[in-house]
Amino acid sequence: MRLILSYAKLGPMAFIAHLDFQQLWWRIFRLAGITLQLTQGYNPRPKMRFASPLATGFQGERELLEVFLGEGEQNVVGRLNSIMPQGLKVLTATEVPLAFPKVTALVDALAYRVKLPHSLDSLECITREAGDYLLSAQLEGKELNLLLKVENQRTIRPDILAGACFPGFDKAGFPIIRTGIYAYKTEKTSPVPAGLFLLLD
Amino acid sequence: MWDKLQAILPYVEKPARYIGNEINSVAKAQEEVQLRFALAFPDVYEIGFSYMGFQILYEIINSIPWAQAERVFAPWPDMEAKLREHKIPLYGLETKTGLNAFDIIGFTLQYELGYTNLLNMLDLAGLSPHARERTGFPLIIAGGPGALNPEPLADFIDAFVLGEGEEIVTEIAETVAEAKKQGWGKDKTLKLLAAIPGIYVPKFYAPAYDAQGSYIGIKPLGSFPAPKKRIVRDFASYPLPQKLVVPLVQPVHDRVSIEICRGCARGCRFCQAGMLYRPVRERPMAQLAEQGRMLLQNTGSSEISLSSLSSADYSKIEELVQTLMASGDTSVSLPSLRVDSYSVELAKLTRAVRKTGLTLAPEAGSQRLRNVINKNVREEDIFSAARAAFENGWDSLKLYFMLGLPTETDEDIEDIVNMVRGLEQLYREINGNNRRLKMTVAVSTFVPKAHTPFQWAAFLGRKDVERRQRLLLDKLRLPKFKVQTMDWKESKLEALLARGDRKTGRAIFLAWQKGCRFDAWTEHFRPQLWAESFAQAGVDVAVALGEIPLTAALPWDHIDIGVSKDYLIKESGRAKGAAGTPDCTLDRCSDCGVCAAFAVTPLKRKGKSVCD
Repeated sequence: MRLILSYAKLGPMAFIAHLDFQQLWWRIFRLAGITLQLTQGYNPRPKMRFASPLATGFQGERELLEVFLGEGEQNVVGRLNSIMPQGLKVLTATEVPLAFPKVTALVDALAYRVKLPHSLDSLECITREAGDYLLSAQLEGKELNLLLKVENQRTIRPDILAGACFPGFDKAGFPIIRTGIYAYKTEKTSPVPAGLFLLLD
Repeated sequence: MWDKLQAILPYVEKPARYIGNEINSVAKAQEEVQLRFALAFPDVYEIGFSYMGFQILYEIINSIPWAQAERVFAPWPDMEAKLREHKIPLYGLETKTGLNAFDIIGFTLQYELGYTNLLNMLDLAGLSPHARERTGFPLIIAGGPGALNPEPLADFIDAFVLGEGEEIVTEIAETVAEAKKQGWGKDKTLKLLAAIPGIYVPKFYAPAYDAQGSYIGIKPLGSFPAPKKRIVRDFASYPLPQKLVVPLVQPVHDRVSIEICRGCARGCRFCQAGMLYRPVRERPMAQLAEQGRMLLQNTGSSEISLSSLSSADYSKIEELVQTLMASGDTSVSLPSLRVDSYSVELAKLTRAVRKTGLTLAPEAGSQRLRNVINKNVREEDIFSAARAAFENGWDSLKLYFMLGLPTETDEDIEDIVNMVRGLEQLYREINGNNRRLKMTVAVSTFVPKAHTPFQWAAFLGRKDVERRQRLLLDKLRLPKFKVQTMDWKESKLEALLARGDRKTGRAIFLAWQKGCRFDAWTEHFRPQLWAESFAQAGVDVAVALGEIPLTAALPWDHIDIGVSKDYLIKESGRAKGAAGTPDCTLDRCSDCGVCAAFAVTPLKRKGKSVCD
């Protein structure tokens, strides 16, 4: 059984580094009594893939994680959420076919909300610095919403972008939240069950 | 508070150390809480996290409906700088409440090189390190092995907990809660605490001198009881923790730990734990098996460590290991294995899941020196243990030795070399070659510790220690061997603090003021600042490190741990004659006095003492 979970990583959980975070998930599954399938090989590990690792310090409102479980597991969302520490919450679990592409291969764009120290007159600097990676940028007061392209698993970090345009940009006082992980090449994701991805038109 | 933290955490290394929020951690509704109790570990999160003592006390305190226990660890220097820069007080991980708003801050003193961190944590809490300058709450208490030589910290700590904390901690919480309710001040509260058995309030005691001005010991300033170690009334039936806080980051040891027995009767003369944790008591097998299963379930761990000072001595160890491993995916680890083939057989049982190295501690290279230190292990035990290990497929062996032991000569060091080479030869005989062999020889430096038969012994000087270290390094300079030694200067500081008195406390304060922190971490250890501090405090370092006459009054003589001084003197004499003393759980009573002191029935085990 192959599941794609969407989850939120908020508040203090933003400061758990990715490797620790992965082990934390393994442990939460063990505590929930849900057995993860293991990888083949000399040192088997639970089969688990994050769509896109989140930088330490960033919060995520809708992250994606792919896992492989035994058949017939019931109420996975409820069982996991009964164990989750504060700030970590599973939102949805969607079963996908085993032949479905790897979740890492589906990622085409990442959306962020960056709180800026002050509003901007123009987005010229952001547009220039982001170059081809910028799909869209919108300013709502002091909040900058960015949609950044992922190509061959490369992208540009929103803190670097903001840092380039705001001398003294302080990511600490102005937290960065990843609001979504997007796939926009619809032909590749055609077998995606409805509601899993935030698809672009 | 969280907003403030969010502004500094992106700038520190490993921010997860400072957020709390772990699975099974407890944060109560603020209106229910009448007493805040901080459990403070004077070292960094990853080191302190796994400390079982705090996991036990955490559960006991939080089981009181009106009490909140929170954990706090020493912030790494980068975090310290940020806390100071933003004027954020050091805080409890559970509710992020500043430590100055707590009622009790309880430190554990697991090793001496954490003492400057303790002062620093008080300062970061906005509290004066000096007890006399703190007029109200929180009360600062301290327990653990270091509390049994409390004088170096007597200026900073309001009350020491001597011995086992499981029962005292509730009595302290109740007393302080009542004091708050009644509006009693610090002094009255401390007087009430001083009346609780196992609590030592240093301000009610002072050093006394005879007519000639010689120190004769610490005496009470009024009708205060003689401070005596406390043990739990009935260890075997004492409840064990049901849950453990599960880390969000990987700690040094990612496993649950259950204490299978307390105390050790082997009587190694250098070993402080062996004296402090007496009498020897065991938990029933069925209780341990049940608790092990429950903890694994409640933490999601798959490894369980059977902790004790000598795991293989537990009467039903084999049965326990088999029961725990019966569930299939559980691995069991046995720290502190003794040196014999039985221990290897045990280790063989446990490694079904994953092959790990085997660790043995002969402590000394020659039989003569092993007799001196009463390490009741014969050459043939070591070789039969190694044979059993090699024949069962182990390729990696770690050996622990001590250097600088009383009466040691260069010949004893040569015997370490001979033993290690002999073991390599044995491996070749069994395996035909030594291609896969990996041997680690870890050599610590002997530090005389309070309450042991070697408490009077000298700490060996730098020249001798470094010459003997070089001797080992030179003779074992082969790719198969890895020799690890200790920095003499760090051992020296440990020796000065371990036998320190109130004057030593002044040196600790000065060293902290000059910037000493994390002295146990080589990258932060600053011996020059310590040397200046001892000089300014008026400590004669050469005298402090030298041999102490048996007749001298010692700074910890007033702390009664149940083991009599007569016994320590007798053992010290037997050491000089290289005479062994048997393990009293297997052989005759060695008359240390502890069973009588605590009115317990001496434990008897099956087996034979290897002592001649």
